[in-house]
Amino acid sequence: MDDTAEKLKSDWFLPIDPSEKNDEFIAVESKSFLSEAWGRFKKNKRAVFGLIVVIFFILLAVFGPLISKFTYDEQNADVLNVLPNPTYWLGTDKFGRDIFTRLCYGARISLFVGFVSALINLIIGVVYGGISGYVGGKTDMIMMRTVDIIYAVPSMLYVILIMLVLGANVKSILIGICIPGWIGMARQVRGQIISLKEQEFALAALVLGASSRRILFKHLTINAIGPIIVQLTFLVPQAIFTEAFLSFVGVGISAPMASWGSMAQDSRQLITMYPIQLLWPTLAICLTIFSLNFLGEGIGDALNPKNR
Amino acid sequence: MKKFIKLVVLLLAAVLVFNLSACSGERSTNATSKAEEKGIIYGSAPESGTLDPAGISSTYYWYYSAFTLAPLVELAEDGSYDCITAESYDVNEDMTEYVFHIREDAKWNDGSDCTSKDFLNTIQRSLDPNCGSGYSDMLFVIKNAEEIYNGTADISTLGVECSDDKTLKFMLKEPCPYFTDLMSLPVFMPSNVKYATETNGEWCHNPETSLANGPFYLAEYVPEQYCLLKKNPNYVQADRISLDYVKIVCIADTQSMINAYKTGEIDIAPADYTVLGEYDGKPDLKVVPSITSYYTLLNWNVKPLDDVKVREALCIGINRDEVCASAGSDTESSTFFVAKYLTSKVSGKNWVEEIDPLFTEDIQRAQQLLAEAGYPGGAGFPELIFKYPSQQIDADMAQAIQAQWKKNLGINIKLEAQEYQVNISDRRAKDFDICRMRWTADFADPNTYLTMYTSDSTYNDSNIICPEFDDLMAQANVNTNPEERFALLHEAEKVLIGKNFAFIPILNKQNITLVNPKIGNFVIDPSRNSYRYKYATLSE
Repeated sequence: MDDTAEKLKSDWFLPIDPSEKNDEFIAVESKSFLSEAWGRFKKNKRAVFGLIVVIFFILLAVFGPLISKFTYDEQNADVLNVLPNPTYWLGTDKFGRDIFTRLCYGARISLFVGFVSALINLIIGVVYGGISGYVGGKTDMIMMRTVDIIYAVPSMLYVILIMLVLGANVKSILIGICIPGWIGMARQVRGQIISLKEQEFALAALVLGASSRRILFKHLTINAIGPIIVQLTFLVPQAIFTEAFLSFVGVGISAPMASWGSMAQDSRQLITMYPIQLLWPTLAICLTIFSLNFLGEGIGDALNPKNR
Repeated sequence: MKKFIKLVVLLLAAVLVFNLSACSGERSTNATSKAEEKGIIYGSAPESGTLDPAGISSTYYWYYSAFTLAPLVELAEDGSYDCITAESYDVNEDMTEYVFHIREDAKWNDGSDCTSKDFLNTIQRSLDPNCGSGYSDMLFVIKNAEEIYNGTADISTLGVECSDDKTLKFMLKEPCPYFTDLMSLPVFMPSNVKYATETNGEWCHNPETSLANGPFYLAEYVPEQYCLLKKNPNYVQADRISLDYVKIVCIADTQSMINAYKTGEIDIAPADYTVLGEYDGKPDLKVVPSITSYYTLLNWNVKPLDDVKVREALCIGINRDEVCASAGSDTESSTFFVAKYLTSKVSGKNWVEEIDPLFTEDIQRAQQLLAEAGYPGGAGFPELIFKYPSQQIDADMAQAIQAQWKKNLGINIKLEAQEYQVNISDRRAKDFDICRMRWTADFADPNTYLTMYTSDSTYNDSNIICPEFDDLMAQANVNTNPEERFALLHEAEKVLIGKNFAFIPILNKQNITLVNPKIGNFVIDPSRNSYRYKYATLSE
């Protein structure tokens, strides 16, 4: 020992130059995961476009009916099928109803159905898939085969059958969309949980005596949040499209309430005479669905740690 | 990438717009290869029934049978009766016995004899309640037919006799002055005794067994797509046929039908009012006043619709012209139950020309009546449900009527669009408050409408009980004097609608058809106010 100490001579060490004093300092501001993702998201032009359009439609749905002078079901035989003008911004339909107002109400229904069904699917899917993946074994087997059975029936069939029993309203559309809607989410979450539960941090939590519920929801699910959010953003346009389709074939929202699908259906017959009436709802549907898909893609890229 | 997105947007819009209804109207390959063969291609709604005259019939059946099955007699354009398969017929003094003498040379397309037993075959099969035919009740004028249908009498007691192969005798339970009109209904068409044994069976789609005694026979049948009919040399008036073939193709949706016509895929297209502007003044456009009545049923068992004041208020509180403006320019408001343009065989006049309107629209009076009934300004009026099938014209009418009641009377009605078959079964089960209804005359006589709403009628879906109307109908049914009978029927309608407001007449619709101008020699079928194309010609 002493020999070694002797070998360390004082001239070996020199005080550093004061100019180098701050070299160890991290000059870049430390960023949280989310703010970093936001930075990546902002660079994606399509995703930003999607976000703007979605916000636009949300504003339209919330405030549109307030700024309009008309109601969605007010008919006026004097102004049938008029073209866009300063009074009727987007024209009127064959009942003399203001298309702008109806489009706003349609946005309400579409966005409501889209977001609420996505939320319901999120909760059911995460809990179901989480339990199935975490518990594993026979429980997993039974739970996943149940999912397969539900998935085997075409989803449109559920919707139409439920509409027959519960009648045509938003509630039955929501139930119809949600029965098979959570399956994709459940499968995704299960896969994530299975791979995450083998990792060291999960083992550490277990050793420290955390309850299963705590491990599952506080540790594993949080770590799978990226894929969950991406899956979620694709559920929204899917639900909007289902609602539009149902209203288009005449079994969706009951008249005279407006929905983009039923507006398209009502004006379809007049396509040769007043094509503009069909343009508005189809444009709204296309824009919303594209925007939501762009948005989903953008969020997925932003949340992917490999893009760092 | 931008271009790609544009393309995708366009494609998506196109899919939404055209709803890709399964249209499959390719021109027959035969038509081009055998240029010398002349034929027409007829667009039809897809088959929803079968081709069995005793079975479930649909529009497709009517188009098909108009070419393939020949009735005993048929109503001609001038109101007289053309004997087709029958050579002649005799009627007894009090119109309770009709004897038809079938032509000796009446044959099926396979060469076998068309006999009275073939006609009896359809009638007997139609009296099985499971046959699904909507026309079984048209047989009930025949002695014991109704009892047989209800299972209380044996089929052998039926009032139809075939004394030999060429004689068919009907014994009726009461005088029936319009019996010969019924002969063009499916249940009075022949079906071959040898093959047509199973109702709605496979035989009716098989060219080998689905025989024809009419101008054309079934040569090819592809379900949900098309059927090809060829000229039948054995037809009794074969010399009148000029076409070699007729092809009926299925197209589900009216807009696709119109497009198929524009591209030349089909020669005859049942269309709607959206073509009126485009084809105005062109020879393609054929408009006939239809004998279809659209009306709204009110369930008498539902309060407050049992109150005649409420019914009257609902009836006169509608501005029908505004409803028609929204429902399409091929509709015309009507204050009658019987279609306005049903032609009387007695006077030759239309129904509407013989009588004053049954009521006048008057919103103030409607409001007053509603107040008298205990609902001033619509206050306290229960939220009734209006059921209708999710078809365009019905949806348009329902929305317009609902808005008018809301605006004029302060009443809120809930609309419920239903799938077509669901709507029909709800209506038949009397499970509705308010329900849309449509009736097309099956034969040119007001009886086809009015008998539906006698108290004991099986079609009385809205629980109408109106003894005065029943009495007038009973008198009309036994009256063999045509003028008196028509006067009684007018009176009966007046009591039913103008006095009791049993239901709400709304509008009549026109039949709009696009017909290739090369097709000639087609005539109006006065029993259905549509065209007969069986003797059509084709110019070059």
